[in-house]
Amino acid sequence: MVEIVCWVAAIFATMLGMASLSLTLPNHWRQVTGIETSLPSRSEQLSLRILGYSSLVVALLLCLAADHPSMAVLVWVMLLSLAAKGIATILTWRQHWLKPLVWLFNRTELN
Amino acid sequence: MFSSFRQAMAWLHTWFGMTLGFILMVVFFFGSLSVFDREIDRWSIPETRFEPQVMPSFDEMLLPILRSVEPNEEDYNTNMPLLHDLSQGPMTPRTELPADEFWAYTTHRDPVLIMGVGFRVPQPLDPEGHNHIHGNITIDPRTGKALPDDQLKIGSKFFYPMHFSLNLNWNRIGIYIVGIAAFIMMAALVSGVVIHRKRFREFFTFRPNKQTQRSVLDLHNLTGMVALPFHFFFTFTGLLIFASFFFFPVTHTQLEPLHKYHEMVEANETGLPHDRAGVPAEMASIDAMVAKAKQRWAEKDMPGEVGFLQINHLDDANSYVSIYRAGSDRVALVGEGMHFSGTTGELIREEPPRSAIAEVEEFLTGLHLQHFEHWLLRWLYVFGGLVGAICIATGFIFFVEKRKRQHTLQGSSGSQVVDALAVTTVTGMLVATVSMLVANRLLPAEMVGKGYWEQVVFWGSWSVMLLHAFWRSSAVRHMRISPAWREQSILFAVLAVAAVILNWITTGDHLLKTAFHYWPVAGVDLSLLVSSAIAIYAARYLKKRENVAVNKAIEFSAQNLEASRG
Amino acid sequence: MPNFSSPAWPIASRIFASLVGGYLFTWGLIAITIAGLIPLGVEFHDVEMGMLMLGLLVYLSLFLWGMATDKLIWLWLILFGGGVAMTLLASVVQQSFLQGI
Repeated sequence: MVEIVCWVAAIFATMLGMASLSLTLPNHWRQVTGIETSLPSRSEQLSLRILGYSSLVVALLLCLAADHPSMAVLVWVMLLSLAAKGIATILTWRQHWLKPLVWLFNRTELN
Repeated sequence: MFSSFRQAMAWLHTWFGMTLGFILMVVFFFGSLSVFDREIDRWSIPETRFEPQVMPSFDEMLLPILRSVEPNEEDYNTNMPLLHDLSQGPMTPRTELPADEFWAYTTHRDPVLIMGVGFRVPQPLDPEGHNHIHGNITIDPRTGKALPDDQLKIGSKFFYPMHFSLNLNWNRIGIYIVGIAAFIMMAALVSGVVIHRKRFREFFTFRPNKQTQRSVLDLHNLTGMVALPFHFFFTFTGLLIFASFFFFPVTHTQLEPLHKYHEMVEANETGLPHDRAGVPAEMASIDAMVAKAKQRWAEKDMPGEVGFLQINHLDDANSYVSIYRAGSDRVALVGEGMHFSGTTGELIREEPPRSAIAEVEEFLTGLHLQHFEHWLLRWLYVFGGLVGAICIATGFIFFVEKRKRQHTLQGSSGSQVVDALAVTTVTGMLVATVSMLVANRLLPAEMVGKGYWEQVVFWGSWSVMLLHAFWRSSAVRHMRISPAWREQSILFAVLAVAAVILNWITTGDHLLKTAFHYWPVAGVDLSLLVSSAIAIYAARYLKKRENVAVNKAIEFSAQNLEASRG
Repeated sequence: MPNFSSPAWPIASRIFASLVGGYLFTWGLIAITIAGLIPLGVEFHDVEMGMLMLGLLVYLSLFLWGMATDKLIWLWLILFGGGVAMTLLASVVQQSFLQGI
């Protein structure tokens, strides 16, 4: 039971991480804000990156909590793929789901 | 010839990918199914739908059964004349061959227990060789009753070997074909990264509403990139598993003398007798050895059950028993082998800690062979495998989309052929797979050669799909979408539902029942239903796209007409 | 009689050299390393496994290099020449080691 909780949390953490990292890329930032000319500022990029990578690290720790280390690493790598695919899918059909993330770092652009 | 490294990589990616991609499609798809091969076995052989068991008492249950096993007739007829030395007298009759080796194998996913006997050829041509005629048996470990072994284990004996040998067994040619394809897969991954390296800036991009060529390329890049570690490591480890025997058998051919020398040194070190003594002897209790092995594992902080047990040089003074742990809790296939003297029951050797290289190698092959118990990771592997299949399939579609206009203008049928083959390896392969499952439920269990006919249905329906794909492919020449994609999707959807219903009718196991009591079968049924729903969705979407393409095609031929007049 | 000036010829030669020559070179490398390290007392299966892992990556790099390089002559010389030389040397080393015991 504990490991299932850890895995579910790890799935969310990798999704959050990939979502943050996707927003550091100008193309995807524009997709989410919906404003053609908008660009993430340096500081926004930096904070998104920090949030992104630290979420991925948290996910790794969660995997390690659930399994033997050799297994946990595999689960983590596969979850990264799954999350990347998941975020790509969200960016295609449900971009607005990521708006809270932009909003978190930037209050002026969206209002 | 190529003006840049990148251009060379693009050439390689396109042409090697286009030719060997069809093989890779089969490998990725059946590899994904192999993750759940034992579950598919349970689905296809209803007599074996019960929970996995630990290995039962060897002395009381397994030994008497093993003593009654006879050498396989086919194995005897093919191999006995090759192994036996006629100058020493006539061949020993099949049923009189003495047993030399017993083994039993069980996994946490196999309710049935597989056992086998290696029979000794008394007068061998090459005394140094591995002179065994085999006889195998599958039993129900709860009762010791032999289960009919003539039924084909569709998952572990057909879909699983399909993914590494295409089931082409003549001279193991299938393994070599898959090997070359896998090697090209690694080259395609590296070259793909080189060609599309700029795409990392739009890593998460998929634009389904752009024109087909664009959106297919998006999906190709996306699926290639997100699962890049999976693609690379599975291809690499797959090659590694077969490398020492098939792809680089250096130590089995050129350096065989060195290998033999090493085996001799090792046999001296381990104290495990290499040959029979020729002195008959009574066997000690195997169960006592199993208990001792388990105790040693527990002391080493890795308690576990027995996965594999083998008795060597049976009934001989030199006999020894090797007991390996079932490796279900870690990635590396670590057996922690314990070897006992067969006559005294003493522990004569415990495998020493492994070197760093051996650990890396065991982790790599273990991650591919996945004997571990971890349902989440198994599903993640299925995800990885299917993403790989999408990546390859979109590669074909991109090839066709990019060239079909030009091919039509030049009167070449290149893209038409590639499209037909893509249909065959995507939807056609699905139809063949599910046809086999339907045949499995329709043919009576007691039918002689049932497994053979199931295979006939598999290859037969796949061939029909190939013909159908070529027959319908002329649409591509007219700049339209081949209707074969849609028609085969519908056929697959219908057959998949039929398989689930037939399973219910013939065994009484329906989803409401299995979902609560028996996940292996519920999982197969559910996967079939979900796939069927996706296929219906795809068919409807294709219909829409076909209509759009017809309008474009009319435009195209009008332009064409004008051009030829002007 | 093959038409050596046809545009298909250089590409066929390149593919053959990269695939077959690359394989031969890798084989030679694996063989000479195993034959060379065993007499030095390195564990047999460690060398074998290590070299198989390394060999697959070497083969991949050689293949990619072969597909891209301008210098077809060098490609042929290095891969086939090197491959044959290392393979032969491995057999010589093996023989002298086993005779020496």
